[in-house]
Amino acid sequence: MSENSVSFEVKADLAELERLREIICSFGRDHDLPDKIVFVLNLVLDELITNSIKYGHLEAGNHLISVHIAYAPEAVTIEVEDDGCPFNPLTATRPDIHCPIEERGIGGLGLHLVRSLMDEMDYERFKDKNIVRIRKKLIESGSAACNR
Amino acid sequence: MEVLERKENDVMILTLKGRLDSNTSDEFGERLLNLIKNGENRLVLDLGDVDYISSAGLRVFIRCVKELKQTQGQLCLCSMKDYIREVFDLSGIASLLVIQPSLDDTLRSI
Repeated sequence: MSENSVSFEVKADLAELERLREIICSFGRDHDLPDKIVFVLNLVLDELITNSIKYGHLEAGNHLISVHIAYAPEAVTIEVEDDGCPFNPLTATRPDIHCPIEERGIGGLGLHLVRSLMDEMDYERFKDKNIVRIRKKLIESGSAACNR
Repeated sequence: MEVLERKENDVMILTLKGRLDSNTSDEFGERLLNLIKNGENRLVLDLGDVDYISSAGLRVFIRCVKELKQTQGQLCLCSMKDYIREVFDLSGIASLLVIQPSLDDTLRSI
């Protein structure tokens, strides 16, 4: 593991989100990342891990979710791997965020935020594992990434 | 997460401090819904000291706006950090309620 990356595992337990926060804050300090980027990295990992726990049916056993975060001056890349049920976040139902409040559902927001805040996202099912890779550019031309 | 509650005229003002995530949102959501069920229908939430919100936190606001719709009530948020405001915009929730830059602005407008 190089000093520009960090790898760790979290238990399939929402209480692990606090440890996730500490790791991301430390990663942000090590690489002098702006508060907004630290927030976004924490948020997308929170949403992906929470989804793995809820929809991957990991509650029942001693499952671990592996996370790898790598820093480069132009972007941060993240890989999240779990052994839960197949779940492709790219094909998950997208929420209608423009409908009236009466018709507004409360699901699907987490992945919507991940897709909106990240510049790239891909998914692979490999050897009975879900692998999600995402990338956040650190050098933006304007704020296009956030306006999609 | 810490929540301070005070009432000014007919407006219930909640000042939040900390993180609104999967671990804190359920309890906070219950508290908010209980206030609404007990007749509070003008609520102001000061998010100036909220430094994190996930979709679990955002869902609390969707539920409350739905609930307040029944009683013609109003939910206003204020003082949020720019990056917190961005997730309200991205999730479409910013268009469902009033967001003001400061508590003073909110109390003048509600």
